[in-house]
Amino acid sequence: MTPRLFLRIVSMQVRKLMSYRMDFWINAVASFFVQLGVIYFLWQAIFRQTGRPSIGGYTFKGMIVYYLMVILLGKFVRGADNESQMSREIYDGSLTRYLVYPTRYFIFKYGERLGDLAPALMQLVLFGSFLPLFLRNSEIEISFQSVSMMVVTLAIANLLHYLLYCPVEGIAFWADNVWSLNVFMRLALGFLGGAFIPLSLFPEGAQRVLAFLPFPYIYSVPVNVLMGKLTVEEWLWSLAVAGGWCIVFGAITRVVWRRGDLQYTGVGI
Amino acid sequence: MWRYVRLYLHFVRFSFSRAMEFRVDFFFRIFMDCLWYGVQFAFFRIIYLHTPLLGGWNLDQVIIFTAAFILLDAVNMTVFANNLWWLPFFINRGDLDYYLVRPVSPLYFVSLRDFAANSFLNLVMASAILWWALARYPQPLGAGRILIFLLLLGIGSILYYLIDMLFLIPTFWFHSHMGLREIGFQIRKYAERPHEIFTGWVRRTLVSAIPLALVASYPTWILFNGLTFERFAHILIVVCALFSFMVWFWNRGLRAYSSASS
Repeated sequence: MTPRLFLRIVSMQVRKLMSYRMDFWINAVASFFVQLGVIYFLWQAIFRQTGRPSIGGYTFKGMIVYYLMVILLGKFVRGADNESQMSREIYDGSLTRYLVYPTRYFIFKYGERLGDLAPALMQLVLFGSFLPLFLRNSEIEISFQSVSMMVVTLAIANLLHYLLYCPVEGIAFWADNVWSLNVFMRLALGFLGGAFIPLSLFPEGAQRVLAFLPFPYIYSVPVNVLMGKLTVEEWLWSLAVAGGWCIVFGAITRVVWRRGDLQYTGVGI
Repeated sequence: MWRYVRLYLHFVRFSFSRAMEFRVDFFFRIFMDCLWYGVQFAFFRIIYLHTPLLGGWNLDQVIIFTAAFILLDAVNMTVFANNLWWLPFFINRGDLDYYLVRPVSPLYFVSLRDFAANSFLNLVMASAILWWALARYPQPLGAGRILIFLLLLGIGSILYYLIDMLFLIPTFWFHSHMGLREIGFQIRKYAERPHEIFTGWVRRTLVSAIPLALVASYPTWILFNGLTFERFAHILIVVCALFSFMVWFWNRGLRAYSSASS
């Protein structure tokens, strides 16, 4: 695939996503504040109850910044939450049209996924403007170095998230509906990835096991890299583990989709 | 009235035979809900590793609250969720026409047509979880209080449905497949936390205009603190007001409906 064609796919997806501007922005703005509201009150109650200055290595302000970043950077990792698109295409037979496109299916889909990131970027700029409110008088220092490290981590997290879903979507070659499995994955990634609670609050044994699994590299690691909580050595190690999981899930995807291809009948076209 | 009950029994029968056609999905869904239950308990378990109380509740009380919310969610998933998921698509594609021309209330039809047979098994599991949570509570709660608690949870599931509808009906004007679904989805998280953690106008909103606190948290609070006439009247007034508003809003939406594709 030529870079020009790839960019065209990305821009097409951006336009598609922005076609319902009003409800997109109403949903984006309102759900941001709604999400942050629950988090704010929950942790305010916990910090007030315990009277401790920090929990799991986060002060109250640090905790809010952590979740704020999970919400905003999480959108970069997940794209537009279109995971079930591939399984739908297998089910309704529209996968067939990609077979005649002058490009590979997974690259095409990844291009669309990158297009999904444009609204996330706009939201990051808009809502990220609240960040200085929480950074003032806090222990968090966001530096040029931490931002650069975060960008690399985020790119790998996005790819890993994509590859984690590909084999699950491929199950649609055998099962008609994999929606429940997608929700299952989203829950597992959210909880074990640190989107629901920072992983430093988990029992130590669980933290040690999780460090070798792909989950923390989806939300927790990119946010902690930005917040300057990882040394360069720890960061490099996290990239190696996440990259290793990308290779593993890339291989699993290949096997599942090759076998699935043999099952595919293109019904519905 | 009986016509509607008979119709609902037909819906249930059709749903079970349809669910049996997609057996793999049937089990995937059970699997997914089990994980969700596990995550709910694990979340609070981890929180309580760092604090003895949350919103004035200890871990045993929060376990009952979580089990109550799980039961409520299972009711919602079984009875309403599938139907409400498709509502924006029906409005957008003009498929709502099929429901408008039938000799039954369109609101009844679009809200209850699809009974999720695969979630029904989870409803049984959720009931067992609540029974376990109540049984393991260290102090006696009393049969009367438990009965009132269950009655209030029943009212809570109606409230949950009404709140969901309020975020979907705007699709009549927005003409997108989303409506305000995303906000509705996020706002539900307020029902998943004890209402005592919220303060000021947010708490006032959660017990009145958007009564998510009355869904599971308030019934659980009443289980521990007792029901007074004022509290019962409060719940009843909120449910009646919200139901009337939803029906009015739905009718306004129908007037704006233009049958997009026909």
